[in-house]
Amino acid sequence: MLKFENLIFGVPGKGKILVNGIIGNQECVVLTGPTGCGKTTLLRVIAGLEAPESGSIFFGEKKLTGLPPQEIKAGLVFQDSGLWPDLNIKKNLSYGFKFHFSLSRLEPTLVEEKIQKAAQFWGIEKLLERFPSNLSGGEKQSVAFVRTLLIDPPFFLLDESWSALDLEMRQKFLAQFKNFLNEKPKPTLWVSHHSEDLTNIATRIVAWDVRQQCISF
Amino acid sequence: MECSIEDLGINFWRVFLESFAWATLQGFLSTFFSLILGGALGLALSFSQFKLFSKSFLAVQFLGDLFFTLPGVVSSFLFIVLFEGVFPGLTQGLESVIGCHVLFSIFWVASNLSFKMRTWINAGGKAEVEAQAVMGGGKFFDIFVVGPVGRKILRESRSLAPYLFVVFFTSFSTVLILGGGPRNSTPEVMLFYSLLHDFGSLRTWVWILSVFMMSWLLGGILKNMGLESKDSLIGLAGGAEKSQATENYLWGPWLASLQKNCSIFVQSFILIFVCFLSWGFFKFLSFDFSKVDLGEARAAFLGSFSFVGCVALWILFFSSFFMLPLRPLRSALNRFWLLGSGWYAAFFLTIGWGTRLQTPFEKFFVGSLIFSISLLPLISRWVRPLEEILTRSEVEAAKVLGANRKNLIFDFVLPRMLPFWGRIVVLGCLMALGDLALSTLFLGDTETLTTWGRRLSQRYNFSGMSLVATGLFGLSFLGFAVSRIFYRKNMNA
Repeated sequence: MLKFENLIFGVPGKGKILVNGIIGNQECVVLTGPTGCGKTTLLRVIAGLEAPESGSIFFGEKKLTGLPPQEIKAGLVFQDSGLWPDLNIKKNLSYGFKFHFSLSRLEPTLVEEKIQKAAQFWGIEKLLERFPSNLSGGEKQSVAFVRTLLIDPPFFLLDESWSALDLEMRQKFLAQFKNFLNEKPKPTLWVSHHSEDLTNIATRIVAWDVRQQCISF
Repeated sequence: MECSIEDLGINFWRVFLESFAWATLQGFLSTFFSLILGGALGLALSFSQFKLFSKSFLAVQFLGDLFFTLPGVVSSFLFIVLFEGVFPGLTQGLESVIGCHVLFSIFWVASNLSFKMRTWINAGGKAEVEAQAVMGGGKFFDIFVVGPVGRKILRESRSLAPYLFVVFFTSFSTVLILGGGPRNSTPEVMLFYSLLHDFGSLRTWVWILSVFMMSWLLGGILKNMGLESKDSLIGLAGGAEKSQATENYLWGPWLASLQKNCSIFVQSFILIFVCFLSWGFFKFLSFDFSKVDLGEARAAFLGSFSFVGCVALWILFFSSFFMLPLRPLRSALNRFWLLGSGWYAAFFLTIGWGTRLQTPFEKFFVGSLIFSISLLPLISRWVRPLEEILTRSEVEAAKVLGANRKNLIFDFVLPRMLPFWGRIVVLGCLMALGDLALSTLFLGDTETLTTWGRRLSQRYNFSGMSLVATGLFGLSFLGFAVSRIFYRKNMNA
């Protein structure tokens, strides 16, 4: 589970935000709030990309605050995808493997098999040989999401991750991701402006209390 | 009152202040005209970016590349050849220096602006222009002058101004050739004269320190006027989104390289033409190339190639990468490099190394190393695209997946540096040999060790050295070609 203990972080122009509470292992919490209130900053703080002012974040017994992002290895999916333009999609997908799996599991055939399987499951197998600049916004987001899934992160942080997907694709991803979480429960924090279509997957929807400048999970 | 070079020691402060004032004046005027003309050309190039007149503007793009790599020494001689016959006497003095500087930099300014426009268009500028066109009815003036394009060009020009000024203020070879004597000189040229005529080490020290401080002060004033770029000069994790424009067709890189390098061939022919003028066509044909006396210039050339090109590049990128977390310090160091420019080299060498080092090799080795550092600001400008080699989101995506700094360097930074490396080495070499006059300040007299830059600047064996210059421009072709090929491979996006 993800646990927040008096976590305080700053948001430019908005002041300090206080976060408390727990996101359980079986939970998929959707966090909604107005633009610029600090939702993305919260995800960045959890992932170790930004330092909080005070307080702590725990994953189980492990204290995350103070650790670099490469040790936290959060399953953060960026809104702008963060794909590397000089690597094709297959290489983009396989890049994280060497940091997460032992050498024996890095056999090229195993990696290839794993990527093919995931790509087919998520419907991006036709994109594997292409480069990011030849992809639409929605396709980039799909790839970024699958890239995160492939490394089997301890928890998920999704930042408007499917905002560019068309409705059909979004519904398909939602259904598949719900199944995925049912099979492999992991704490998931999903940031979104709109929670309407996330009600199926969300175990809780938390609204950002702008006036109180605090979040309680 | 004009004073002779031999009287420099007696008239130290007066000469110093005169040269400083003159350098400031020509620096401002050269910057002003370069930006006005270069800005106009950049604006024209931006039209071609919008595919309005892409065919017609191929010629403009070609011109834009024409003087891109022309070193100051060569452009000065070219200026003399072009104008001395038409306007006798014009080629010595303020107008000639400004003219040459503008000629040299206008296309560079335009190319730079053009590149920034491309990046901007890909990063959302196109939408901005289209929004303006929809709201304002698509009037030419509204879009390209007072609208988003004009504003963008103005912003970029403001960021280029301090850099251009520093380059012109510290101009050496151009002013040495075209300045017209001690009164019309930059402090750097006066420093050269003072070292050459040895009018006293203490005075030279004071001179160097004074000029250094004034250069520093000037940079501070420019910064306070808000003229310095707001972009980070070096920032591997920041910056705008990378341009996605690439050519995917088979012969594209070669054709693009050919088009880009036509200018270099043209320059080579200009040099040969200059060579004919001073030597005569038939004499040129019957020239025994084995008699080109390079002396130890070959060693100097090879060494400069290695040290100035490579060392500067690697210092720049590794230092910038490791300075990433140190934002205030990084910014201060950037200013230190940019504004100090070539003064550090002269400063350190004159303080002691230049006199203590005995063998030509020692002088050359240390000198090249120091000049490498002095080249950093230049190179950091040339490789603006490389500064944005990794966007913030790319770095963060890699870190979240588990990549550390070493992984970032070996997986992304180094592979993406390759395309620029060849080009920078060639350009850095040209710049070092041609413009910074490597040997003049510290490499001893012409009897012991000579570079072609020194010989050219003193008009020794001009024709022979022109051939060397031609060969160097040929290398530029290779550098650009390699750059294009690797660029395609790495940015095959």
